[in-house]
Amino acid sequence: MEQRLANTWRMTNNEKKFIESVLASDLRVDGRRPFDYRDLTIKFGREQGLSEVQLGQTRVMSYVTSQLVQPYRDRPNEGTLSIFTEFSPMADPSFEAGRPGEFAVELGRVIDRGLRESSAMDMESLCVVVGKSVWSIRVDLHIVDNGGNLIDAANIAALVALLTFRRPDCTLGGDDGQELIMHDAEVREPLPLIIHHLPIAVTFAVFGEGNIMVIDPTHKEEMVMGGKMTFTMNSNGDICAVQKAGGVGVMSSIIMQCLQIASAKAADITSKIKHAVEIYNTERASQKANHYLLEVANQVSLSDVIMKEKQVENLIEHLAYMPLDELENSNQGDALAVDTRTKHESISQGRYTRAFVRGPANWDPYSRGISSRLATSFPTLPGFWCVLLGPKTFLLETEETTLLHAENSLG
Amino acid sequence: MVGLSEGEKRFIRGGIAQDLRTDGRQRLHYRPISVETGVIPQANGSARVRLGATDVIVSIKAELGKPHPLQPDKGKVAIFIDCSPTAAPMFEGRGGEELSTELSFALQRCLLGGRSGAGAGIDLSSLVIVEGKVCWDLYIDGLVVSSDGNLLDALAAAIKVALSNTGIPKVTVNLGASPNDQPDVDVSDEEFLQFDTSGVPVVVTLTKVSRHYIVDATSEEESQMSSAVSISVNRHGHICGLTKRGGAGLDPSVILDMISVAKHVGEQLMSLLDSEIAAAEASAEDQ
Amino acid sequence: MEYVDSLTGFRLDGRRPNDMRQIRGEIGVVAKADGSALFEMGNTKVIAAVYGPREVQNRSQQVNNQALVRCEYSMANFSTGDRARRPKGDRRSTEISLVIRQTMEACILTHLMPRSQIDIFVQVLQADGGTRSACINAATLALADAGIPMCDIVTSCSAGYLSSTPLLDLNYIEDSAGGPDVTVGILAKMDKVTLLQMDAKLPMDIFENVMQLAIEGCKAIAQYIRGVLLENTKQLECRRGV
Repeated sequence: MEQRLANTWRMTNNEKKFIESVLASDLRVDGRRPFDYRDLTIKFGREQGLSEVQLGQTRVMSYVTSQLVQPYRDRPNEGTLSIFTEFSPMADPSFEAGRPGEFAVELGRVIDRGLRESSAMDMESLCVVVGKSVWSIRVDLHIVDNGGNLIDAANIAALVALLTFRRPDCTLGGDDGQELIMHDAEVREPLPLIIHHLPIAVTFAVFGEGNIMVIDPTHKEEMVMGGKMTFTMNSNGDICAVQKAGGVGVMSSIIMQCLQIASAKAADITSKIKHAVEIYNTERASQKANHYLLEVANQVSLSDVIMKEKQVENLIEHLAYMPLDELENSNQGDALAVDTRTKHESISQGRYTRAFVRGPANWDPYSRGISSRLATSFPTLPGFWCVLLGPKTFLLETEETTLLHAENSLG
Repeated sequence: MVGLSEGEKRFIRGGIAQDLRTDGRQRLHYRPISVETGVIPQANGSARVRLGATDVIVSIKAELGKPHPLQPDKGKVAIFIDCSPTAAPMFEGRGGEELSTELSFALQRCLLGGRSGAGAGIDLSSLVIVEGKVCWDLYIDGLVVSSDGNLLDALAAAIKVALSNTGIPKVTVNLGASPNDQPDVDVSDEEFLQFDTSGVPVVVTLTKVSRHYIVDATSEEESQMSSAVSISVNRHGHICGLTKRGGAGLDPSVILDMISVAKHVGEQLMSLLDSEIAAAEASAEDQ
Repeated sequence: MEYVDSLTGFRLDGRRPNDMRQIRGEIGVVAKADGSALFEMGNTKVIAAVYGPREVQNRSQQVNNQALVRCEYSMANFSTGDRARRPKGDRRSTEISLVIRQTMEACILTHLMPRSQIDIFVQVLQADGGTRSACINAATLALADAGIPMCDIVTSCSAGYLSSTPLLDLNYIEDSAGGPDVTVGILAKMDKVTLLQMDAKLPMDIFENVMQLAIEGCKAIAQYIRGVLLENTKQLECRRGV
């Protein structure tokens, strides 16, 4: 209430009257029909479990992390899920930094109810050692821009982040078989979360005497509305949660009608989410495949350079996941297998380059009797990726083309 | 609370000076007290005391715990008071915290005696089960539902009544094999031991308004007080605790006089409460 | 666990699936408040106190054309079976305070009291399921006792779905069974739903049945509340010597 009251003074009476009267003729200010959603854009971040959703002007970012914790006493074999919301003041002047206001708490609880109570996530698969350690999944929702209908956008962001999040694999090992070993991403493939169904929140704004409903209200419509209803449904026709916290009264027949509409919208959004996640997953899978190619190449014996196997492995691990922004070897390829992909948006360059440049000393290309041609000529070619498949055989890839130059066949 | 006008303030002060208060009472009269026991069925003991418009509910819960290492032969008692916002709008959110902590401490001082547990109104040694290992932890939770002055007296009376209503479950102890083992305690669901409340004191608050002191002030009279002294008196007429509130200084002779008045009034209050407790028990048995 | 006995059809506490618990409402329990009420639904006991309309305490929140409604929900330490020190202002209390406030705001004629503030404080003395509904019912009685103009009375009731049967007015054991819990608040005369909350999964057609059952329960409570208010008014008339 305080938030709305603090904002209402910014809206002129003309605007208010206009929105209300125009709704009476089934029109909305941005030209949509009453039951149309705004454009939905789903973006993914570099890390897994990071997503950004844009619904019209509303932007919400979501970040999923996991941690091993002790389980609750009354649920020793289940993991935990917690949702934290942050209403950044840059999203809306009425949001205050620090303590969450009423609406932040409500949003967190509605999304939490939709995910937890409807058992959308499988909590028992998060158990590692019964009664001692389970995975605790934490979802952080950051509201970046409040263009109205935060609940729907935040819900989609949370779902997308959960779908793309991968948690580290861990096994019991050690001397007594009781120690928990968490495996690095390179050693063992991180696991996805088991999600049974996707609860999608669909919000209706109620105007007038409770007979005018619209879906996906914008910020201005929210300031004028008499009440709000959120239905969280999945594509199987189940209702996962309902939230209508007071506001203008609505006939129960209208509520059932809205449920039907919400069901259709939920199915629609589910397919959009699945589509986006699928594209993202295939992209990541193809990136991984390229990395594996690298590893295969290095198992071929290289006659010119002698190095210890362990150091090779170390280096492969460093190389496989670190794009470089300078070519460390020429493409005349004699001795080295190098990943020289450039990423224009490489975030922490220092981290990446450091690992390569300061590899084990006897992997230094300059110190091991490599032909001096290599040592002298070092053109910097962005966007190249060169894999050595054997002496005088190399595979050269750019973003667009793949060339295979082979003088000898693979040994 | 809406402020008082000058005329009203004079009326209150004048009335007290003439031994005729706003509601017709004399200076040393209590408002009618009504007592109800067993209002919270899931607690070990509970009581609700109404002192005029002041309404407080006290609930007592007993849980198994470990005695304090310095006092292995005594149980533990903790008193928590909460001021509900229904009593006054200013108690909303954390507004009532200050008053709550003040009341909690005052009651602890009056009822629980010193740090060593000596002189406690409640007999703590009756709470021990296995010396040094297992004892009863009593949690006394008070809630102020409606506040019209004299909260301390009402809460203390409610605690006394609730204690008399408290049933501690009977325990059978199975001692472990070695003396260092944690003994196995079997808590019975059926039999209860009534708590011994003969030593529990009552609290009498004397509020000094100009030159006279009154007992059981309403919140309007409290707003006119210069200082107040709360004295806890037990059945034998002994003083168990004393708290002075308010900024005005008091002459020691005045305090001694107040103490003797409190003893006198305390006796009357004690007998009144005893009869109320007996009546409540009788009606509970009838049911 | 069998929540509805398959042979007799009785629930754990002996009620039938469509039976509500014993309800009791009392007006004027907190003498100092402008309006107050105690409402019991079975073992759930709730006190509501209303202070207002009075001057707005925080000038920045003052609204020039209507009254500001504030609400706080708090649970006593001893209200649940296991005594737990409740921190004031935890997320559940904040959400329930928001829900109760918006529900009561829907029925109070706020435009008749501009630049003023109405405080609704709800204190749970005993919690045995359905605390939200009991709070709303108690708040309605308290607002009526305070003489605050309302367009209609708001009543609330909860319903669930366990052992394939819609059950009315869940108690704590049934509530914590993990099945769906639908809380409905209606404006009695206008027959409109103002509060609707549900958690846990439920197919759409069953949801309609459960919601209708809860609405029936609300209507029954509305009748009882009307009775209590009429009785109270008669007593006031008596005391005035009319």
